[in-house]
Amino acid sequence: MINIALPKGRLGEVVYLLLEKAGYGCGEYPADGRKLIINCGENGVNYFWVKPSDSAVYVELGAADAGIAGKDVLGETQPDVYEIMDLNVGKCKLCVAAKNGFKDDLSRPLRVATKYVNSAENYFASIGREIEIIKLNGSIELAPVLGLSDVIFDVVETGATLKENDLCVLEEVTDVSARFIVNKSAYKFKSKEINLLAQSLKGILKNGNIKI
Amino acid sequence: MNYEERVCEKIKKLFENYGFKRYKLSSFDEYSLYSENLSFFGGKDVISFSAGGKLLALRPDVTLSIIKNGRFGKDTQKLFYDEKVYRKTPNGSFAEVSQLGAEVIGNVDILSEAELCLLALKTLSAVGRDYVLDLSHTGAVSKIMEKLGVSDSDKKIVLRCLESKNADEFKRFAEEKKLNKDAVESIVKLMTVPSERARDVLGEISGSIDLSEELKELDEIINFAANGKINIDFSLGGDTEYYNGLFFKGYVKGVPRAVLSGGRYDGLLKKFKKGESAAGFALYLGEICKYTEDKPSRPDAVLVYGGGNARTALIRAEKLRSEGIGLLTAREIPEGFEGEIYYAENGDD
Repeated sequence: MINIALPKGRLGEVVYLLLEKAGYGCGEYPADGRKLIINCGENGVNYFWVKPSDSAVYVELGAADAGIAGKDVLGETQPDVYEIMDLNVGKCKLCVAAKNGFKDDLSRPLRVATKYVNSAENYFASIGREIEIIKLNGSIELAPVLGLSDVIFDVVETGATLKENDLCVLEEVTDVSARFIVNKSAYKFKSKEINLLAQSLKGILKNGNIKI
Repeated sequence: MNYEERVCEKIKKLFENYGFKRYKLSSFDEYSLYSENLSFFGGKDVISFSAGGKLLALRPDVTLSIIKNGRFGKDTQKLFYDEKVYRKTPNGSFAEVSQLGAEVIGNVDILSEAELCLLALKTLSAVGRDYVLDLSHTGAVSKIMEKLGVSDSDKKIVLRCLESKNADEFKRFAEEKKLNKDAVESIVKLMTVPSERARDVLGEISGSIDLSEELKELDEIINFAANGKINIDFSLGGDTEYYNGLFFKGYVKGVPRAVLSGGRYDGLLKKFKKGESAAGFALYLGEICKYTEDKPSRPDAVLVYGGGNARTALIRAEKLRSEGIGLLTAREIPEGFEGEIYYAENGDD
């Protein structure tokens, strides 16, 4: 039996559909957001619906054998897990963005609003720019609009939210997509089942036209 | 005895059975010893404090202290220890963890390495759960990296991909950096191959990168200690500044992280000018205990005494204990007590 942590929301549902196509469905569509555990013993898997930013925690600490996590979260928390497949869904980019017409004043630290504190610190340290972090948990785009920060460091999918708020991308830092991650210890004892599931997923991703 | 004490005793007897001598250390050492050698034990932080004008730290690793403080003569030393270490957990807090380990310091040959792996297997077996010992070879990993021809900073990225079996990320990186295609293919194979085929893949790689010595070493160990619980897995990591050959990690079912880690660490020994070669391993018994339910220890019987003669009650209790009964004296029967009940007052059972 493989216990899999799926991120709640659109990405998790798309990945669930992929797993269903790969033969790991449960005969019920996980639309009911209140049911947090789905047991499908006949296919050898259990699914847990967890907050997207938590799925790597469940996997690293062994509550789940495997899971789906965004590269943005993995880059931020650096969990000690195997990252055995890029699912190429949930694609977006980690970007630095600011109000249209923004000019960086190099004589003072750059104020950066973000929920990715570690990733932002690492990135700006790599380009030698001194910053002041403003940790926010949501609606990051609002920060430069209200003058709370100079720039934001956040994921950008289509850029529509940025556009609507008169913001633009200054720098694309890294590509983000959903990854299939596995607990290191669980992999030692369930490698056959996990490899079989990974191979089946790979087959579906190769042949199917997956849109998200 | 609780679970931790039982397993600990079993393993210590095992170490003694292999001729290892107990080594006892103090709980702390100079902060700089650990902060300058963090990558030896895969640590991120240590607890430090100031005492008598010195900056000290609670020990996060035992081997470093042994090597720094030990006086090793010409003879090869085989030592074991049972100590507490203080390490950062994945959630960021510090925890005290029991660590048991064995070290061979002086002249390490293939026999010592094979014996050490066998001892590691038996140590894992003593834990009482299904287990696996994964072997890697930092020397072989270094040779493969050399063939790849990457800079030191890029090497870190490649090793991170290898340690997380992240073949997709590595392929993208290799394409971007236009790395040697044969070496890239070898590394991708190492990342993705199931453990039962890992030895074959290394054999194939050895055609283009000479790994004959390293493979001979791994083969000897696997053949000697073969019990179906040893695998080859090159994603284990192991800092090449300290580790130069065999590197291994042990896992037990139900514990999410590696519980045993060890290898050949000539680099550390040479850094401290304490000899030529050394190898050893540590078992994080405290980690295993966190994931093990243990029945609380209970006495076999209780002797209930009232307001009577204390001396009579004590004499009776001692007599029962001398018969081998684990006995608690109490004024009332403890709630939910399931053992035998004796009464001091009336002398009946």
